[in-house]
Amino acid sequence: MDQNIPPIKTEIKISGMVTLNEEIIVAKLLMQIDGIVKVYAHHKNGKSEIYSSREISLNELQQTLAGYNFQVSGWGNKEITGSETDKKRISGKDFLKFLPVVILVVTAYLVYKNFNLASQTQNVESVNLWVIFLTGLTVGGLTCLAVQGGLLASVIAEREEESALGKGIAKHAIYATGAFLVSKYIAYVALGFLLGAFGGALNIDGRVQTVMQLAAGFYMIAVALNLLNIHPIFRYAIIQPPRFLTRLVRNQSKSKDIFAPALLGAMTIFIPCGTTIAIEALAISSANAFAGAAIMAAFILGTMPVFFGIGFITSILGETFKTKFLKLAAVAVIYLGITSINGSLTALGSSVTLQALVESFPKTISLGKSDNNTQSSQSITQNAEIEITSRGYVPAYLKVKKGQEVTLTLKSKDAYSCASAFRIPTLGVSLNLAPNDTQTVKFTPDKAGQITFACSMGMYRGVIDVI
Amino acid sequence: MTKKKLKIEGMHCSSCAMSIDFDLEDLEGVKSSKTSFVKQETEVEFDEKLIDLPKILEQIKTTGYSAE
Repeated sequence: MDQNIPPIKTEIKISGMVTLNEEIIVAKLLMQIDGIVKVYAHHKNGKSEIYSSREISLNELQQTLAGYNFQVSGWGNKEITGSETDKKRISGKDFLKFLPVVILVVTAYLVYKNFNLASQTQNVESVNLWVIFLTGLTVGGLTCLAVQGGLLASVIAEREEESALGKGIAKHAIYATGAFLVSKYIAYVALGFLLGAFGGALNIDGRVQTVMQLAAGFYMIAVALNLLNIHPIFRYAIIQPPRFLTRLVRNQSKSKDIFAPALLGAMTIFIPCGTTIAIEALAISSANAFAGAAIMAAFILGTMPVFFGIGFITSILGETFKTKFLKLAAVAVIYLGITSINGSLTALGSSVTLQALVESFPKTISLGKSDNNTQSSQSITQNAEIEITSRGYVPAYLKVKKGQEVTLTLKSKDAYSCASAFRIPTLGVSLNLAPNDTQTVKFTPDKAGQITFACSMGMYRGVIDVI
Repeated sequence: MTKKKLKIEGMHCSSCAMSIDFDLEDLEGVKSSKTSFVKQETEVEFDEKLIDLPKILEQIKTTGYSAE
């Protein structure tokens, strides 16, 4: 209507905006005032720019925002009114906002414990689950928030316009964010379950899993190098979702339906960012539905807190923190990648693994689970018994003579981890034991050297020294 | 209708590309916006009678990236 008249720019300070959500809500509210053509609101410092076709008084703006806990002042006198109210808001309310996340974490933990999922998910080391959680907390959260935070804010604002209730907007935002996150969590855990099961279905002879694990490892490193901005080529590691899917999600964010936030949350599985895809690859390579679900659960739980407290966190840590955070996250992703590659190399029987590298050094540091053995005191035996527990193999070092048949008796005791999938890659030995089981394998080594045995994922290993 | 290619700086994943497209397409006068993360550029199609380039650049800046 007023396209030809250059708009009047007014700079004001709006206090009380803590998150991106509130930014959008403020903008939507102010846009309803006749004459205002564009609003830019920034939650970090409260500076807001209003473009209008007529002069707008502070009073008019304040009246519109009065019921919503936002205060308007001129940009010039920001220091007097601004900082104090900001601090007040941050202290109480924002910690309350973390409550749904805390509740989710606790329920997830209780479900995990009580339904005895712990034994099912031993395929993933708990240490790695923590790294996955941390990855979610750092990079996953930030990259997810870039798009999903905006979508969520827009769906909240749509609902707010519809209900026209006015007050209680902060409460509504928390409910909507909660619904969004809970359904997102459920969708991703289900996805992880399916990806793990899919990996398991592919994994007929064990080789496929190892190859997938290797690929997932390299992919994660490529993603990390992209985050570190090492070279433009690593941008190709980031898969851009097809436009019809992003449109679908976009349209959902414009819906006024009461279930819109929840549906939107579930639909975010269609627009994964690079890190999410890397974690999904890890879920497939776990080749176990429960392990896949646990991996995705740890990651998504990690991404949640930023949705509630991004304004709070950035206001404490300042501007430069985001880039530093991305670097930290890249390190976590590299760690996951290396662990994954190392595991697959061990499972393939490669002599180039981290453990092998460490063993070739003088014994000052120890790494992994295979080093807690006393190599020199081990006597030579052609009839060895190896005990398998969830934690690996005892003994993990054997001495045998070449040219004579070796009989290995494998006894599993409550072995719920992948340790029960016993492999000697170089000899083509592949035995899958039940948690409590006994099986034997016979072979004749024809040359001296070291033979590595390991579980199917390469997490637990040991060495047979042929002399 | 005018088509323009813009160089974008500051994107670290494809989510950023999506944000830019979503925000630009919300502007009146912008017909379509296609951002490629790999090429680090946006192809934007807009009606010059309704919107001009500085406004589009301003929006990209507000979304959180720099463009030229």
